[in-house]
Amino acid sequence: MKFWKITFLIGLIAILTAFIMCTRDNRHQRPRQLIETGSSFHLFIRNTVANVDVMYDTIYHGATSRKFKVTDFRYYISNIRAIREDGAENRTKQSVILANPRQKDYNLGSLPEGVYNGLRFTLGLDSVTNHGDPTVFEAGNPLAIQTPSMHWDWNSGYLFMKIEGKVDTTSKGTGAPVTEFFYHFGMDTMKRTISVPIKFSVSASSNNGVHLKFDLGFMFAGVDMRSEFSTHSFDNQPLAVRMADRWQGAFSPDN
Amino acid sequence: MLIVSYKIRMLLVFALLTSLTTFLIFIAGRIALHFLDPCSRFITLKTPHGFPYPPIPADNQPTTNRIALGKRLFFDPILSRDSTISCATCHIESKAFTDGLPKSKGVEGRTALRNAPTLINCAYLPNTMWDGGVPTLEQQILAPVSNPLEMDFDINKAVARLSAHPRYPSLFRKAYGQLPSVYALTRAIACYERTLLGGNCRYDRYLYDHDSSALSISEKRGMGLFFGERGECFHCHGEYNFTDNSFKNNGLYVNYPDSGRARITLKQSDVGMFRVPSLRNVEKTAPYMHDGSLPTLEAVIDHYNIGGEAHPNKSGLLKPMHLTSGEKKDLVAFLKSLTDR
Repeated sequence: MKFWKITFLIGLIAILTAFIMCTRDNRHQRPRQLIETGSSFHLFIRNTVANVDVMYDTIYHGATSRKFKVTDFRYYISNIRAIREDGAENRTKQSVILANPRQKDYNLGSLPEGVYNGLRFTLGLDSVTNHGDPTVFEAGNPLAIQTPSMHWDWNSGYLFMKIEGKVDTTSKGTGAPVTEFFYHFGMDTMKRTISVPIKFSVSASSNNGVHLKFDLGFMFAGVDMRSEFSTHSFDNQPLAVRMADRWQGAFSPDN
Repeated sequence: MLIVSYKIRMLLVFALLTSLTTFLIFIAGRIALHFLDPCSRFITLKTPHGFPYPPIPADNQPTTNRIALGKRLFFDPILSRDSTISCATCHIESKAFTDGLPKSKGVEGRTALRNAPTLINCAYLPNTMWDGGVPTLEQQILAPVSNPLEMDFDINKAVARLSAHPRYPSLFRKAYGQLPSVYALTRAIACYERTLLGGNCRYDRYLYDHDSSALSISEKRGMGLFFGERGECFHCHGEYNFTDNSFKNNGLYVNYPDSGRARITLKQSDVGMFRVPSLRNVEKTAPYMHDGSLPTLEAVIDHYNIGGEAHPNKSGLLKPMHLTSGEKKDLVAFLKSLTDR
């Protein structure tokens, strides 16, 4: 009886192996998303208008007292580095994230233990990544072509930040937010290096993370949304540059 | 402990052995197909005389299966939102893969931004589009699909359509070893486009076969102007593909409604700069310029004969040529000798 059992088992393994071999094809492997291992370091980002969390389709009062609501808001953060007390930089494993109001917690992978004085990152993407082929990534990757409309196909590159919504453009500001606004930031010159001084420590025993806030209200301050309601970067560069230059100030530690 | 009769045991063993053998045959068949199918072996493109071998990405070396899949996709309107427009709608083979329109027509009769360029010898382009905004042929496939004035479709939805198609999934498997994906789709079409090579015109016969009779006397006079210091055409339209692949402002306008390369670089010095197109098969690619504003080769020669409009970015090579009407005819005659047979 034992003989039959073993025969049956071997047969089953053989069939399973054959089946796996038949269905897998390793000839055409493509780069895959980094899979994190080890103790993890998290970046928490809260997107706000002043101190109120951004939620799609909620009406806010902007810095110009214009009512507006957000329908789409996403931005790439890349080349993330934790600054050690001696000024040295430790790069996080996960190199690119696509931040958005619906997600607060981003796993950046493991980071060496120690005390850190701040976080530095690029809002946008480096030139090589920016002009690379978006079809080589797996669907879950923030850089994949499957990520809806974050890629410009005619001027091959990514939108570094995209914000769309509706704003009240009536002269007295007493109407409803019905006029569409869109601010699309892209092209190599639009990327910005952001430094946030924030003290944190990483140890093996605890959950490690750092909390940041991005204040949309700060970015909109100084923008007259009645008339300045659109830029694709290339067609209204002065407005795009003015807003991108406020990204640094819009980030702060979130307590 | 199972208690089963000898007969049933034997039946089980028989069934097990049969299924094992079936699987082994299946695996052997797949391995054999992989190594023996001549259509999945890498092939070498046959390049025209005088042409170097084109640069081809390592992950998209041509095979017969890949080229066949790319060709099928190229001619299939499945990639446009309403399934009315294919790549071949604007890149018609008989017109050297252009469409004869000043600006191409997309879905619902929408007018595209620019003139459809020839695809012949596109394997040699260091970047694509009139403004060089897209670095590779593979990535270029994304642009007309998503452009609202052209195919107006989400490429991911196009892939979903291909996945549900009765034939495409197996063709993708044969070509790229995977089910339809944006990756394989863009690679297949680019793979086909690289096979669109042209370098067999009467001028080539004159040059490489030393056949003096291949060109008429008028065409030879035109050739003299083309390569001479009066015409200066060869500076930009030189080498094997009659282009130096640079971007130039050729003085088409004083004020450019379409800023050209500046749309990509945002540099004032790139306003009005467009790709220098190949002149091979130029007879078939009318109308001319990035916006198709010059209907005939005669109109093009007239434009260059006066040296174009004044523009700060205009190429220094553009100066009045003072060609006689006979010389203009000679130049046009020479350009027509660049049509592939």
